[in-house]
Amino acid sequence: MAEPLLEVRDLVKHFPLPHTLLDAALRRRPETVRAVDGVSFTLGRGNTLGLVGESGCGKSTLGRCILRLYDADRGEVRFDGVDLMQVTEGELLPYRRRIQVVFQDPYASLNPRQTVAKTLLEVLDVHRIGSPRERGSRVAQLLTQVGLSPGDGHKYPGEFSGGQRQRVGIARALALEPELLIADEPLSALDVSIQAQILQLLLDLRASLGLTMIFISHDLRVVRYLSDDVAVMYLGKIVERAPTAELFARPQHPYTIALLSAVPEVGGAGREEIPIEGEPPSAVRIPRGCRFHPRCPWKTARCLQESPDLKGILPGHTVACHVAEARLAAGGSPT
Amino acid sequence: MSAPLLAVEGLCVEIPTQRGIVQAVRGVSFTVERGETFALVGESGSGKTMTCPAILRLIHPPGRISGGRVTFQGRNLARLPERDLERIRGSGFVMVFQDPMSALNPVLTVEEQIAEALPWGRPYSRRDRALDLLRRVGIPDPERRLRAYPHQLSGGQRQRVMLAIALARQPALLLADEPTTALDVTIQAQILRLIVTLQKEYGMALILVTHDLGVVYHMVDRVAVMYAGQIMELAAKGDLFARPRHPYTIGLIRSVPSIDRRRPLAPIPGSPPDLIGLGPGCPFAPRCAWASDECRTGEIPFVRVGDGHWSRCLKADLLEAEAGG
Repeated sequence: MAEPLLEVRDLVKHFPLPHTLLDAALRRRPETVRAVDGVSFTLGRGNTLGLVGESGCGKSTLGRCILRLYDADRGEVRFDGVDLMQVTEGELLPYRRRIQVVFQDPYASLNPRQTVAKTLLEVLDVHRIGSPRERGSRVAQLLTQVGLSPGDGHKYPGEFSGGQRQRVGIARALALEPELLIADEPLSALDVSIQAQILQLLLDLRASLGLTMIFISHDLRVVRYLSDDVAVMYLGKIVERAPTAELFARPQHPYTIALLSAVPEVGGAGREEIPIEGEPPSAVRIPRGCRFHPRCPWKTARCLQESPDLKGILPGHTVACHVAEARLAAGGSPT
Repeated sequence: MSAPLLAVEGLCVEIPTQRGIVQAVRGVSFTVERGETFALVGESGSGKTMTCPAILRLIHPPGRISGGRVTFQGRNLARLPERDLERIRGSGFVMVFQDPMSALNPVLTVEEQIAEALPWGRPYSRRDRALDLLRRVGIPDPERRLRAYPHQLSGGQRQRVMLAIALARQPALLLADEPTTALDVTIQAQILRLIVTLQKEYGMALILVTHDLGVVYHMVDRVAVMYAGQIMELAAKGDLFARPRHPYTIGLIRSVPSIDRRRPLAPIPGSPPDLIGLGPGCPFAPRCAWASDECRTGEIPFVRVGDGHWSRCLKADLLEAEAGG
């Protein structure tokens, strides 16, 4: 197999909570939010990894650590063979060009006082791409590529609808011809009919540009359309990863099954359902043993004590669950 | 046949802005029977969110109700004096919002807020009744939660408290505006299950305002699909999904990604119209593959296309063969 474009190893990012003098006087121990708590995965060139999970599972923090918008505490982020964690801020610029991001709210990530063409030109200027004349035609080309007209470049972000603004956000990310595109909930702020348009645009662009993508989303339905592989996160860890069709057909982790059964599907799902009660615990107080055990219907004594590692239990399919493996061996999994 | 619990006829809401008058709701009519679950579905700007406060006559100036009539339990709400209206708002129907934080009082405890909603003059301990309500809405550790303030609760728990407050008034009709949109999917599933259970238990009617067709599919009896301030299609849920008779409904259904990827996505091109200065003709025509000249000029009637099934489309008959996609 060719060298993966991205390899993340044991990545950890904790955020310390404020610890005041009063806390110290009361001998309270300093607390940390364990947002990303030991995540490893690889991503091959031209592939798309869907990263799913609910609020607070660490999926966005993970994306930001890969972009070096956050500095992770520990671990490796190997991009094209280079560990980005070891690269100094000054040497980072070329990598920033090769890894781009699209955010959920394009309005917050575009300068409202600048025309869209100016925003795009600025990106090309900073990275010194092409001659000034070439930059102008590149902007027009980018706008066309994302389904806008070159004339839209004269508009300000406020003059666009939400869907059009997301197109601008995508154009800006594509301006530098990145190899890796991280899309962090790019569809979540959009109406259903517009969401489908942008999803289609991402599918088309990926096919025509051969992009490698990390697609971060809380919506399994959307992930299904865009990802080659899906990794499910819960409280800072990946609990299951598999090729997309495999994950949706044969989910093994009880949390994945619960997530799938919670999706309100038009037409009904007709799959194994685990309705889970309770809410995820805070990432400050992660349960001992398996972090999902307080909500898990399958839990055993072992789950309360011992944290399960990600293990391959089917070809290309890894799961962090003590019970799933035994269940699969006993033929108890849905087929 | 007895009169419906709620009848809305020709409801219109206008909001003056600097650019002109936004016609947020343009002649909306529907009925809701006792114990029934009814959904208003639409995207941003469809008028679905304005319809509910307009029913309660709670439109804030400069917005105004510019037409229509609302009959609740046989009484015309427009004719009622403010005092009687206040009573009906308090006990007849209750509203649950997307963001419970904005509807809960941040400086009162959960117990105080539920107690406030309980009717006066009944011989029971308010505290016991509040505790009982919290148990019914599935709040863990209810004794402790009675003393909690809203900010100490999670989003899902706040929504449960909102439901407890709603139930305290034993309303005949619950209006829920995107009650689970801000919640994670596993919590959303819990709250939706809870609403259905409570609705049956209390025999309430429910108007669910939502953008999510998946939620509609699992929750309701009848659906009205709204676009640009109008109801485009009204049908029993089964008919709507199996035999949609409006191009917008068909487009909306095909825009919803499916977890089993049974359908390829077929997005609706274009974007919704500006609600200022809407001309005659069908507001969906610019995005519609079936539209012809008559769609762009004439008045589009709301016609019956089946049993309890209505569509605001001149081509509704042509769509029959297309439907079911």
